[in-house]
Amino acid sequence: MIRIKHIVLPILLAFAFFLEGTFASLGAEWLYGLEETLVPRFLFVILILSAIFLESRLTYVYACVFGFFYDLMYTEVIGVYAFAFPVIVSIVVLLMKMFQSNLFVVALVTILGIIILEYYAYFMFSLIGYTEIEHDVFLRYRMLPTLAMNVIVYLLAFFPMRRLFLFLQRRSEQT
Amino acid sequence: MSRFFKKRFLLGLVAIVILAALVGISVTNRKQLTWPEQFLKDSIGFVQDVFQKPAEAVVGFFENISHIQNTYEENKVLKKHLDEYTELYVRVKELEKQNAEYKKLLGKEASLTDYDRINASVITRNPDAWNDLIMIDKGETDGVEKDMAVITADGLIGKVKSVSQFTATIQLISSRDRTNKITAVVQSDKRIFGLVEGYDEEKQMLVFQKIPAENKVKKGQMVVSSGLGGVFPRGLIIGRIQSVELDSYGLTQTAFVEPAANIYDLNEVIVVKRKLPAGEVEQ
Repeated sequence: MIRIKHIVLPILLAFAFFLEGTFASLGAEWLYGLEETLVPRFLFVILILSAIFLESRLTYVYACVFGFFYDLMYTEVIGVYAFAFPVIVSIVVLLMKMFQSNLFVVALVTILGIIILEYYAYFMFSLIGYTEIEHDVFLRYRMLPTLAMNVIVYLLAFFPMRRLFLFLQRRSEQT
Repeated sequence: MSRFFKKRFLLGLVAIVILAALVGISVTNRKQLTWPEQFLKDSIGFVQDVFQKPAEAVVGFFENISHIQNTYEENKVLKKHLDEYTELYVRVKELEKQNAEYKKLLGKEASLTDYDRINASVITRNPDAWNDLIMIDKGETDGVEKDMAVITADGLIGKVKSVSQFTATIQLISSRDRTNKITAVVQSDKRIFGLVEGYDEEKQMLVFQKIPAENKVKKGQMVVSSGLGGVFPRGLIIGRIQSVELDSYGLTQTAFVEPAANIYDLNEVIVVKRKLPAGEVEQ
């Protein structure tokens, strides 16, 4: 049966997906033009929040679908993110079973998720031969700035998203 | 509990096998995308474009406001250049006319430097920046083909990586991909040919490799595409040499080239279609 969350979640994820691309192309000057590289991970942050507050199984499916879109549009290597998004989101959900879901704890697991994702991407693209940067350069100029930016994204997204997801969950249980 | 874990383990194993297979297929140098890929890319690209256009307008508006502040100073400089420009324009026209006459005499129609332009606007850019890709709103139906050069008004920015019906993906010159090579020539008294290959991420400069040591290249010299091999026309500006280093054996030297075009501020680009087909190249 189709519930309201089955409609709202994909629209929300699609919005984050398109926003990421537009943000990257219009903000390229200060995202990638400096020595530091900042990678926006709006989609991934919202996937994690949705897995924690809405429904994890549904989120895995969309994580795979949007990961596939991401591969198709941006990496041109199909399978890289289509595999990573659902797996890392499920790791986060597994961890969250042990903790309470408050702002601070969810922030920690989100950061952990992004660290795993960035390392995974670094490993995969080194393997394929898209990059040859050293590990310490990666850590200093890519991982840290990326984490810093996405923590801000997370802080902005946390309260409205939690409210929305909990509301959707309640509505879906009622009907 | 054990059955639950067995199921997970099996699922994970299957996923890894599928991942390896898909990556393997994708990485091999494919000539063309399959039609489901093309269809999905076009559809997603279309929606992305709907996002991009208004956002671009808003950003453009604020950029314009900041430009207005410098208008007076810029105007002074531009007026000074305008006189030189007129002079240059007349000379270029004259040379073009002469050139056309000579060509007619020789019986040649198209040369390596001739090309058609396909104007396109940028839809999106790869956010994760491991491979610098942008997507444009022109595709196969507009005449875009794989490996064509892509430029802005300032110079070369990349080449077409893959084409769908209505969109195309461009690999920027800053990509570290092994296949990212441009045959180039240094403009000095003597023509010095070489290969622009690779990008130094720390210096943010292109690497122009394997220049024979006896050829003197200097800082400030212009590097342009040579048009030998591939489908690039001759004479596309790549950038200026910033520094030259001798290799460890002293036989060849490496020059670092600063790209002429700003590859981080791209809205409108031009896909270059060489008039002379590949395979009919002569020196």
